[in-house]
Amino acid sequence: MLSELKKISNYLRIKILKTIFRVKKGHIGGSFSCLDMIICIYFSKIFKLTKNHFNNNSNDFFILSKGHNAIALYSVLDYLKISKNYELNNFHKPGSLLMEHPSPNKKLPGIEIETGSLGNGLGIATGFAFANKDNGKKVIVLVGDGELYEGSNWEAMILAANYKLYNLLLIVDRNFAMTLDRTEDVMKLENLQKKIKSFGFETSIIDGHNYLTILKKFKKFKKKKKGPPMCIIAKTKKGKGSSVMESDLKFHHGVPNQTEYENILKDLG
Amino acid sequence: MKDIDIRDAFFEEIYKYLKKDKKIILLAVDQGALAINKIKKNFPKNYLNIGIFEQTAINFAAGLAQQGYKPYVYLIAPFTLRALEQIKISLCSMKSKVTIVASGPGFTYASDGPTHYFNEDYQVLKNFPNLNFFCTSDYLSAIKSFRHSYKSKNPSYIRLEKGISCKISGNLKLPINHIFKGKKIVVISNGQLTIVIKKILEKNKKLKNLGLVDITQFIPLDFGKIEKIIKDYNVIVLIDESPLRSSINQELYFQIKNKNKFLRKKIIFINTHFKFWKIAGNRNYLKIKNNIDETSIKKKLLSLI
Repeated sequence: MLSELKKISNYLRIKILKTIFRVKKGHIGGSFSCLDMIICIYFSKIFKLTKNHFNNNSNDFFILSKGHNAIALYSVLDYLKISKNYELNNFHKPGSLLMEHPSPNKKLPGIEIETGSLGNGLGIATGFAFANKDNGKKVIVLVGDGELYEGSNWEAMILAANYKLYNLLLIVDRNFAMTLDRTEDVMKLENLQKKIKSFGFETSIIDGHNYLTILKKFKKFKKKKKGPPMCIIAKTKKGKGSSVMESDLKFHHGVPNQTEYENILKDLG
Repeated sequence: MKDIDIRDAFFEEIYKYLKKDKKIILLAVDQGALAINKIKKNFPKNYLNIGIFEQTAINFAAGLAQQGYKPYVYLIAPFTLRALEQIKISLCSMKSKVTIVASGPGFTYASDGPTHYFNEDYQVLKNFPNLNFFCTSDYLSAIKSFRHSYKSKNPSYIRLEKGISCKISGNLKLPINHIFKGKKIVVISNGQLTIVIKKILEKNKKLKNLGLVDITQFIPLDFGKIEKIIKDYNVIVLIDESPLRSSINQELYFQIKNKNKFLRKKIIFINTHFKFWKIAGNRNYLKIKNNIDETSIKKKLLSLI
């Protein structure tokens, strides 16, 4: 299974790169940092997130709070053929539903809420989790580490811990970078684990690109029937998979030029 | 129906509806009212004091609404401003069926200072598509606002008055209530001011021919109904407890003057000043300072006769 996930990951990275290069727009760096986790969420079959689950409303919920990386989510939903509307040919195409930031629509099963303004996904996810506490449906919300500067996240953490939302999993895409700078250089977030733990979350740090570790944590979360909400701080790299992007902050939303594009493609094999 | 406090009437109505609909959930942002105790006691699963955070209250409510609940977020009106982005996106853009119950509009909390005034709600919230805006003026309008918000598929904002224990007329009509039919001059008002004006018109024989209209729903605004009423009047007096630029009066003026047939109608505004009041005093004191108290309004109306 792990090698299969790796193959899918590589395939989708190339597809995202080609799309962003074609439309000359997109947040490629963060999309590559969170992609492995989104792949694990959907492909591991741990969670109820298949087309059938969406069709009969028995699905769990995944909320991408860092909405600027929607292309990563679209690519996964497209691969799984959740809806033909997810074809990346539609990304930024005038009149299509695939905007840079996601917005819910009946034609886009899997997009639960509208994100793009940072700091709101977790709060809304607490509402989802509270509403589904009795039926055990799981709610996973992925936030960026830079997003955690928004105070609304910490408000929502107080609420989630207070109501013991055992069915809520908060994933922090800890790529240590914002648009312009590295978080620890300009506005320190560390010690992040200690902070989130002190808010009442069961918290751990993992390698956000290691499928084995990610899946282990997901299985643990899936089994939870009570207790506090869970948080995974997933250490990741912006632009993961290409040496061209991993070392360059401009790829937060910078589009590769022709040479960079060719080199990234070589890196991705 | 026996006269009761406007807030108690509102929460009594929620209580009644809770008996048949357990999807209603009251989220208090650390704000109370007498009738809420009954909800707390008899429907403990449908009441939460979720603490002092407006942004998360709205986001949490949006999440609940997306999952089939009907949340009512009860807060002190001016602190609605704290959660504007959440109202715009999580409620209006996502069409989450959440109702904000904003207690204490205008100068209600005058003695608490400018942090607690809220004269801007209409001006700010009218910019967000899909939002209903109700304006209560007595306990019947509070009850009807609740019923309308309950039926609506969209998010709603209810401007809930405080300290009113009467009804304006026996047969309240949302969204426009033509309380007195008059001749030549009509006063269009809302909220607590409508009660003040009604009293003025009832007490003064010289003013007995003035018409009075109470607007209880600002958004969507049923201008068609207003149009039918004002066609028979020559002078329209628009009164609101906010500065002109922030009030419904600006919108009414625009709509009236947009009709060629109404171009010759005279419009008179009675609004508050556009400033922060950094002085102690209760709601009535600030109304006096703004010339929208009973005496000032009476004087103004008499000058029109």
